[in-house]
Amino acid sequence: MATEIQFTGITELLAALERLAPDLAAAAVTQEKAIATQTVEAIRAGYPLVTGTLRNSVQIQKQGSTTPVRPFTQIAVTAPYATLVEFGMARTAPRPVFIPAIRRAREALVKDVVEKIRQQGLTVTGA
Amino acid sequence: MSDAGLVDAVVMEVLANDATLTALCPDGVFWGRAPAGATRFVITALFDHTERPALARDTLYETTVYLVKAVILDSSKTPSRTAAARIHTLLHGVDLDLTAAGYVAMDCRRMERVAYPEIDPANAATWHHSGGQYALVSYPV
Repeated sequence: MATEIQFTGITELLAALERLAPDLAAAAVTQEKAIATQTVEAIRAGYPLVTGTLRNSVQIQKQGSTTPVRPFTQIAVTAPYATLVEFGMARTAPRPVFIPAIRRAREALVKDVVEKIRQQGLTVTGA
Repeated sequence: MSDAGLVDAVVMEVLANDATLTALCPDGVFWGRAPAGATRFVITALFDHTERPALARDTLYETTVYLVKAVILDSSKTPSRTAAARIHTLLHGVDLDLTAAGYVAMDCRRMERVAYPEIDPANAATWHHSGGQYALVSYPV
């Protein structure tokens, strides 16, 4: 006698997942911009103000993506001595601003995306 | 009584008490900045710190990110790279004893490497900085 297992609702689940991704991407883009703007402001405020070059070199760079469900934004500090400020020089102490701010921004975005997935009625674990 | 500042001290002691690292960086291990005249040393600095709160006023765990790097005045980056490898051996994946600070270590690992040269504006000599960002996860007891 053959054993048959029948799954129901798979088609509906796949359809829901397909709908979820574009919605999430659109929501993530908006949130990403907001977090990036806040992060840039925090980085600028954290940097020492001498000539203003370092603060002014903090930029948001929107990156291209090959798929609509992978939006991403890059925050760059183009002043050539940014590394020396962040990690310190032989005679000056490190001044960690950029890396902690970016870490918090990433955490905030992940937290927000997870929340949006949960709002769709899905369960997220390990986040 | 837990004291996060003493956790910093434990990390520095681990580095300062190692004979191999001392031989590579004989001027010592310093917090933030080395004294004038030092040319081969280790810098430890607080890079980031986050706490995961628990119920009431308890803390579930804390994550402290330290910048730990060897700074060596040398035309070659090899000495600082060698010292960075020793730092890695002393910290990465090591179960640190934080009893003196009133903490228990859960994990210590390198998150990212750090390696860059610095040209001294005074004499155009090269300082090599090598090490990493080490995340220490611990909880107070």
